[in-house]
Amino acid sequence: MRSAVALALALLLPACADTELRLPASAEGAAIAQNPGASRSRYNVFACTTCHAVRPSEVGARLLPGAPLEGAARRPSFWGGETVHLHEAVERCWTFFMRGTPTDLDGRTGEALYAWLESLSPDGSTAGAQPVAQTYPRVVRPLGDGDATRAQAVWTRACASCHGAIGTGAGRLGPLVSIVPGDTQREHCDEVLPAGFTDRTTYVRTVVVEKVRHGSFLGYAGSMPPFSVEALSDDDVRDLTMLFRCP
Amino acid sequence: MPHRPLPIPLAASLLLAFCLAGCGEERVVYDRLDASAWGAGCSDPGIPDGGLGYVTNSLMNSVAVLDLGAGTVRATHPVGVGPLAENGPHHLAVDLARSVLYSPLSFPAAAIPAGPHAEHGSSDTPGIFVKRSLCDFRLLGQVDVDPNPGDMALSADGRTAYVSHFDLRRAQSNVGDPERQRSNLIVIDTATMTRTATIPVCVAAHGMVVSPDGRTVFMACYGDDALGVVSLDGPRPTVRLVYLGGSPPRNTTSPSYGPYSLALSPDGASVWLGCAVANVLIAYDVASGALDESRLTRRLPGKAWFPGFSPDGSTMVVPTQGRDSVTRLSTGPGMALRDQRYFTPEECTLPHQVAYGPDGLYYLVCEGRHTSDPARSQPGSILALHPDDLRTVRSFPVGVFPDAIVFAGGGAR
Repeated sequence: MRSAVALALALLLPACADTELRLPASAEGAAIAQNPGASRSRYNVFACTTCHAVRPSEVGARLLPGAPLEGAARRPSFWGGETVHLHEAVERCWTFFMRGTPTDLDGRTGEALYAWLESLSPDGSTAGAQPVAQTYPRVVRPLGDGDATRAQAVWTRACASCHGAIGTGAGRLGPLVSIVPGDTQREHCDEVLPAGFTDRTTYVRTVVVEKVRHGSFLGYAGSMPPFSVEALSDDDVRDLTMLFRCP
Repeated sequence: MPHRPLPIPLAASLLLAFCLAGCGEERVVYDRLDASAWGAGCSDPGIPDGGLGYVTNSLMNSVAVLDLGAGTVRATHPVGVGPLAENGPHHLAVDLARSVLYSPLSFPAAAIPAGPHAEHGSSDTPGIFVKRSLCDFRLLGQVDVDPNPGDMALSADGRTAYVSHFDLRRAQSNVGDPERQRSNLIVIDTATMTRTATIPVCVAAHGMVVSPDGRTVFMACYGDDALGVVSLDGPRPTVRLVYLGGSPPRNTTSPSYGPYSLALSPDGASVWLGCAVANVLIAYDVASGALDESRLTRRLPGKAWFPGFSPDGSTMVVPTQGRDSVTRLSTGPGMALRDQRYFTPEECTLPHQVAYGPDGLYYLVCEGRHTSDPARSQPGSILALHPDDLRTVRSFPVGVFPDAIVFAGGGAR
């Protein structure tokens, strides 16, 4: 009896060893692209897929600041022509929005992300390989009154996935993400009006235009990516600004 | 109480259950890439026999590459690293041995009405010194420098870069505190792209060169009306200011001479200071360590910018703005005027730099019309001028606000 048990155990124990599932690096890249924790910044709330659809067919009704990623590895330029190197394009997102460090992309993380982007552009495929028009006007001026009845719809398509519900922020990406329009109005309605502005509501709406078009660049702060005029039209932005008003 | 062993079947069952509970643990292992990530790089910049010229388009965040032999613009490469902003690549240097290009990016003051927040002003934005591959212009490294970087120089061995800072904001916001008004010379190890020294030199320094032996950096000190001589010999750098008026100026924010540009003669014996306020050039004799009053130009037709020299150093060609022109002068005592050419706006607007090319032509950087609103600006051009009479041999259309040209190949030094 003792020998039988020992034999059974001897046969079973090797089978108890861990098994290894080998996956391509692109699979790791796909996981990284969907993980806001990948940049290891406590302030980051974004994953790559927060702002980019993987394929155009997955955009749906959303208005996203980033272009679809299919074909990105074959594109000749990025960021509206500001750079011609994929590594630099990704590094900008990684450092400016996701608050990671550039050296992350020189190691395993970058290697996996690149492998994933490559896998989205198989040999012979030209889908998504054309440059994506992205125009970010440097000069921002008041857009005038829009259609207030459309503001909610624009919000839902362009803003809600990060900022959550209007007024409460319910469902926003994190506690540091501003609650709109309250936070914006609190921050800007009482400011000394810059030259050229006589009306506070016009001013705060222009601040919103600036934030949408410049994101965290050109004098503003934060981590928000900018929306190009191709991604979010001036008409949409004009309607969106109707959510904002100063007393 | 005596310990009573478990019955064998029970012990075996427990062991089996324990073992099986840990069975089937699946560990995911990802393959590594075979190829280098982010695509294959390149190492050969493909410099043709006639050589290439590299020109900064300072309001387009790019560098234009001129094929000197073919007389064409071969490519224009983005060089900015700051999204959406004017990155302001002004000056540049090429290290052909390492196949790299350097340029300090000078983010401008937010003078344009970009939006309510830009109006608050961001002229204290640090500059960024970038290193890019000469082959495909990919970014190889970057390091922050002070706001408003101006000129740069590269040591002969390519291991050290020097960056000046034309920091008028610092000068204006620290009036009454001369120490705080001074801008820094920043020294950078180009291999690691790290700063190795920060040396306060003078008020709003711009044009600069490093001596061939690498021991001295000369800087045009605009606000101090002086030449800054920075000795890198010894354990600590030392700074000496050689005042054009003989003594420190009364007002460092309103200079009388305004030395802005600077050039080293081909033999390294003279440093030439171009003055943007007094419209003159004057030589500094390196051996004697003093200004050479016998080599002071008469008042030129406009602001004197960066001159170029004939290979033997006997003549120089000076671009001026105010009245747009180039003037050829003897570099010897008396500085005889050889010839002068004035430009119509169609020929050349705002000449800024002359450099002697590897093909024996003078290359003139014409800034073109530029405003803070890119939509209202017009591209500049590079003119290749015949060395005999300064006539235009060919013209290269480049981007908005070209600022400087350097060469590679074709016998370029």
